[in-house]
Amino acid sequence: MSGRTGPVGDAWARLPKRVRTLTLPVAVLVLVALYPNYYRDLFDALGGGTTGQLAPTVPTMVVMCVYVTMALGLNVVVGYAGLLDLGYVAFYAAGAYIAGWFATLQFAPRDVHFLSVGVNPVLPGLHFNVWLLLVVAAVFATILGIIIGLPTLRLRGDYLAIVTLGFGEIIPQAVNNGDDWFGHNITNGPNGLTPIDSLGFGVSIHNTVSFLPASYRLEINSADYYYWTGLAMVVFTLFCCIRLRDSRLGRAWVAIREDEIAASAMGVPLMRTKTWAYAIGAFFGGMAGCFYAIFKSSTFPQDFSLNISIAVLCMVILGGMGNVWGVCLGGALLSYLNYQGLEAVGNNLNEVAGTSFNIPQYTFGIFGIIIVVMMLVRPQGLIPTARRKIELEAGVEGGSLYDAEA
Amino acid sequence: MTAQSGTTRKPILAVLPRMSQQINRVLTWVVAGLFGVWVVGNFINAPKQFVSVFLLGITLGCIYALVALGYTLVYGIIELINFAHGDVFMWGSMVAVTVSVHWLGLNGSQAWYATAGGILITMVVCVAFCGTLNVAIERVAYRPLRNAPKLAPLITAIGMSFILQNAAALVYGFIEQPLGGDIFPTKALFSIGGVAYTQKSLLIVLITIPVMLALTWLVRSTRQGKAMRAVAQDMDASRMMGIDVDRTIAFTFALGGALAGAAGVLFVMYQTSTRYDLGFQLGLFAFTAAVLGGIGNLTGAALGALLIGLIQAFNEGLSWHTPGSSWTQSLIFSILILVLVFRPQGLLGEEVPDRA
Amino acid sequence: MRRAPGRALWVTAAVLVLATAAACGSGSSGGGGGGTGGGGGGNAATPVNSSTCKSVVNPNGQLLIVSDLPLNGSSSHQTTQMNQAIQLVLEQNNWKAGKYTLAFQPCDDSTPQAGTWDSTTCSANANAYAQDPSVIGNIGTFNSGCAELEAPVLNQAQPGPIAMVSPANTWPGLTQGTKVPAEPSKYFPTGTRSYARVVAPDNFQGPALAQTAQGLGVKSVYILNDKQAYGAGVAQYFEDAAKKLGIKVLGNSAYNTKTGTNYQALFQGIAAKHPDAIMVGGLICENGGQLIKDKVAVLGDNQKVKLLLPDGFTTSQTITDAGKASEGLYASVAGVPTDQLTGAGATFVSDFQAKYNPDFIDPYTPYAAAATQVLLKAIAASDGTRASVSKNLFGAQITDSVLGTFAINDAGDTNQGSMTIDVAKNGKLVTYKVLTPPANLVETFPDQ
Repeated sequence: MSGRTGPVGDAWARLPKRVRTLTLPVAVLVLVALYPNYYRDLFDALGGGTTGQLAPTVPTMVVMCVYVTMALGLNVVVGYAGLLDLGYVAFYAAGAYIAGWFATLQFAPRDVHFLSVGVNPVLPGLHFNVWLLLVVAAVFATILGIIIGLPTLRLRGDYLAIVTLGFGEIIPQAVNNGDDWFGHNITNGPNGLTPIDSLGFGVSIHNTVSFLPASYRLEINSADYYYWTGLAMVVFTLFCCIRLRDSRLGRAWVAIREDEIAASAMGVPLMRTKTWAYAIGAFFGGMAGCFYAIFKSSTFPQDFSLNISIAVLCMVILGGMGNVWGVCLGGALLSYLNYQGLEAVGNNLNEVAGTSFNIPQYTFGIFGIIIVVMMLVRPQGLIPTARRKIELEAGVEGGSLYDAEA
Repeated sequence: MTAQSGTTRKPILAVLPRMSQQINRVLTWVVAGLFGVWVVGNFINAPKQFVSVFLLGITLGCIYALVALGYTLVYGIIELINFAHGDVFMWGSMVAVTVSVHWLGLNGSQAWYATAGGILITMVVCVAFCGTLNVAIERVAYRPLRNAPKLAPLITAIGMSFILQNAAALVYGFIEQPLGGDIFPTKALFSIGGVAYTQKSLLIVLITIPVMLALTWLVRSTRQGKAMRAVAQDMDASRMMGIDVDRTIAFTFALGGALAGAAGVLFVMYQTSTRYDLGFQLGLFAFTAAVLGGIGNLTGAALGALLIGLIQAFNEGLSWHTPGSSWTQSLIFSILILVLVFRPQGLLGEEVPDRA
Repeated sequence: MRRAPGRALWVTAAVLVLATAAACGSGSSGGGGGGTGGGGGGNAATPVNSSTCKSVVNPNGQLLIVSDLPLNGSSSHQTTQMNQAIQLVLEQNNWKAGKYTLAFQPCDDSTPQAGTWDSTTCSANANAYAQDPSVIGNIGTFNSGCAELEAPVLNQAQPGPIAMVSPANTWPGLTQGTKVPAEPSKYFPTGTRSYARVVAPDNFQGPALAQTAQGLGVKSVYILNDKQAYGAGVAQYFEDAAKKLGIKVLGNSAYNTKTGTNYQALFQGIAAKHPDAIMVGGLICENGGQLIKDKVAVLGDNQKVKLLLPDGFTTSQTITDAGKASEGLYASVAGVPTDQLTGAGATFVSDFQAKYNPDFIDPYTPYAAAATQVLLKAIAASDGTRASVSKNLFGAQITDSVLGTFAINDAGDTNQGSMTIDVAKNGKLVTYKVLTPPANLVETFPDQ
């Protein structure tokens, strides 16, 4: 951009570098944050009705925020540290169940209200502050990540993938059988935990600062509030990911990804560095899961299938492993397609062609095609990192990048 | 993994791997011992039931074995966990229904030689189809990535698995594909505790054994088999020795696919129906079997498959300290995780330093 | 690098400011929208804005009725007919309830990948209805799990709770106390009820099956359940009723529903207990065909060891999947079979047959019609606001409906408890008998 000439270009060049690098992200953020305000116009601009369905609704945008957060979290594990995790859904489940345990009526008549906001104080059951729960869920998932990571991270790449896949399959089944763990109903089994308290700021804050709602769910535009909160979560995650990438730890991850033996010889503690990657990835997964469960007001064991893990992995690959902007793009695009886009496209096609072919039935087939085509044609993803591009295009001499193999 | 003992700080994370050698050995024996006690306990608890469930487990194990061999062959040669293998098996079962029911019109009412001939034709078609399918997958999806980082083909394999599954749904629909009725004879051979052992179950075992023997002969004694083993040991060296590596790898995939096709036919003859999402769970069970036996090891895969078949049958059919059917998956995946973490070389595999 | 925290603060501050500005702007515009759309003025209804909702039928109506059913997967055959039934009833009422004109929009709460209801879709749908001021009532859901999600959201909708009338939810906890903590009050956070249903819940279906078992001379039974909300629930109610009837329950255990599972080991374990009958709480689409085949292979045909199934199996798909093994099984339907409806019901069935000409009218189709009639009656009696419609659902006496005359009590339950038991004969499900379980078998718990 600095190469541009003319008065505008000169003025641009004179701006401090910090301002210049931040202009684009901030502009995008503003545009994205104002989405609920111009969603209706976009809907109408697309022609309303069936074609208008192509414009993502605000609830779809909330789901997109959740998936982008998860994709960013998985990106730390897969993209930064090069550890293939096929059981990421386990952390999402952990976060969701934290919300389910501490903000529902599951454990009534044991009644605890702890700093709860926007909740009827006579409601039975455990009701902790939902904002606090977001943090607790993230920490809980982190601990779970460390527990799972400690024994398994010693394994080489493909074995690790299988072990995580195993965990990803065991945890939903354990949760599904959790209405009878030695006679105790912990997870309410297949009936799930519902309803979960809404996010909100409580009556006292609402009375002081009127635009902060007491409880999101009681607002007519509740999805808008969830969307802004979700967006804040994405921004927080994005910020952490960028800072981590540029940190000492981030460079250690890259070193391990590139060559484990060399990294180890250079004094990078392998286990600790890998465990950190795993734990931090889990942190964001747990937070996203908790937020999503609160948004949906429920959590069920069948929400945690392998498909979620694969979908999130697909987002990371599509966007470009290691590149946070790419991952944001991949996450937003694929979660849009999954929750609304394919259905909308299908409806439009069927309307034009007069057919009734059900495209969304084959969503995961389409995801499969995306994975294969991307790996074959553009393995560096839509927005690759410079380093990754070199690795993938030049190939690797005599062995793998990820494993401690000669 | 010995390199990290050189790090300066010694938190628990660094100490653990060094202790793990001893821990591993002790744990392996403890787990094996507990398993033995569990089996014997169940036998004493209900001997007749134990025998009938044991026979069932053997039948299941045979089908798993054919699928597990496909995993182990491919892993042995290019160190790729071929996630799509379970779905190749599913396609085998689908094609088996098409050929036997829709083309040949088999329904078990024909004379035994007509049925046998029909099954033979079905078997040949399925074996050829799945072999070709597996080679095509290798050619399109894995070969271009042979020099890429190892996770690249693994991720592609996951993608292929989803593609195969959805393609089957597109062709056959999302509902079950029934065989219509038993084609294999179902007469009872004998009966234990009121539960019959049928000719069908015996046939599964009787067909599996020669297939496995033929495979062993193929890999041990033929020129192509020797080439496979050479490529598995050192791809570059064998290329220098004049072995056509691409062809050998393609042959391995063809072999794995053929086994999956045979397994598909046997499965559908035994279960009498199949569905587009069959490959996922069964594929993972078979993969667990391959890992349990020591991945890359043919005998190990067969042994592991029989064990997994037995464990599954014991868990669901017996009652002395069994978690029950709703925990089967968790049980089998726990085995997978425990084996990978504490004995990655499996029961029969040899110790390879970089896996521990 | 040192400077980065400063940059971070800067970004965060910018985000906060922007978010605040956006919140203010949207808050005011949202309020304005709510004012113009609500209350039943002369304007046409605003369609629910969701890609899961089909286009509006009779778009000129003022008040919008939505239906929330899983239109994908194994139940699509049933739910398509249910939507047709709703539309037929609305047409027969000239799209009017009292002085209000109506519009109808069918919505889908399933995803094609899952082939069944999906919690995200259910929740998103409920939020979409809540935010559309034209929506006056919801005919749905089909699955109880989905209703558990939608009921509290619709109950808390602003400016008033949206009435919900289900034609098919059978989980008792939606209207009455169960063993689950805080049911049913947790579905109604505002404290006022807004949910009613026209089918009898599983605490009727379970006992009806148990009575059938007793009538067949069954002395001992083994129960299998799919470990899902519906299946495990109905299995539990069956177990409790069977015990009361003096039938020995040898066990109640879960089975694995994944495709490709072989159940012969499971049944061999059961065979050692020598049951007279097997009861399965589950759905046909969860590998049910295999389960039935393996049951027959190990335990013998359904004459020797009876097989009792709830309405998750009462479809022709069961016969297709299980083949010959289905012969002689007993399957229940929560309600009266379509060929035994009289009066308005019989007229409805013949009208429906004439208009849509289906191969077979699904047992739940008349229930969708009845649910519509309940909702229409509540709207007619109301002042056109959501709160008033919800209030008028309860205590209503519905005369001359498709299901005859019945009442909705204050909890939202129907006073009809008739159950039909079908038997599979020569590859077809035929009515075996219709019965109403006596009150002492119907297990109830106090509301919590």
